[in-house]
Amino acid sequence: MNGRPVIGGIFGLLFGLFLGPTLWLWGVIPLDSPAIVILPLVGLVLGILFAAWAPFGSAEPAPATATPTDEEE
Amino acid sequence: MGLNRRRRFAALGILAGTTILFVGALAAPATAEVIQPPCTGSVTFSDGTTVTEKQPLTETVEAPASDTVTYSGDTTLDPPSEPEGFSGSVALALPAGGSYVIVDWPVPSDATTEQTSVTDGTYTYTVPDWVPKGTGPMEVTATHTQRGQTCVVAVNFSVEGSPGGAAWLGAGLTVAAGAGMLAGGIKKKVV
Repeated sequence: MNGRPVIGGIFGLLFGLFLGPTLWLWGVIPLDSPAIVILPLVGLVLGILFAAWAPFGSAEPAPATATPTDEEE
Repeated sequence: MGLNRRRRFAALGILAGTTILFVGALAAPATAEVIQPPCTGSVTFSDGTTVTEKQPLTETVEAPASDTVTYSGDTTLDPPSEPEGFSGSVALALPAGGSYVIVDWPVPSDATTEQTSVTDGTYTYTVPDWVPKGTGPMEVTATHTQRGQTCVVAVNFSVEGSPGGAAWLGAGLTVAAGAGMLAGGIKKKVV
């Protein structure tokens, strides 16, 4: 897992939770549409899969931390 | 174009495509007629729009936020010879098979009721301010049971107007959550 699955999962779930009611408010889907229940689950899965894929950023090494040397001891 | 850039574009494309496909597949309008005869009924709004029990669920009725309507209903039963019980309700269909009862009329058999199978009159209503306007269809189902006969009629309607602040708030929250989900796809730094 290269990305951040917890962040991806949480925000994916929130994305789906907000998307369903928003589509209803904008007149795209009916109030009793199964999309309102399914989209949060789809968002959760997509968020985790997206984190597993991690297409953004480069896996640069983190700055090295200073370690004591023999001279300092 | 570098490999990473192509991956980013592909990722965004797949994400957008998946979302559109899911929404498109799930947004198909209801096609089933949920009408159980033999009752008949109609509601006429002040602008002349009339809705009857034959209103297909594929069409959405746009109702004013407040109005005085003329209604009529007929159970098509013979008028009862003595008072009899009846029950019914008007309910709003919610996601996952839920429903919210707007009004019901359980009338016991010993109640003093008008002995008729036909009812009509006028009714003035005002939709509360908190109910969003101009939304997608809301399915309202009316049920009436009397003398062993149950009638069911369902109508898709929305309240006239524009969605306003709630819709923009929802859109903003969706975009923000979507951005958060994309952030989950940023590679971790390798130690």
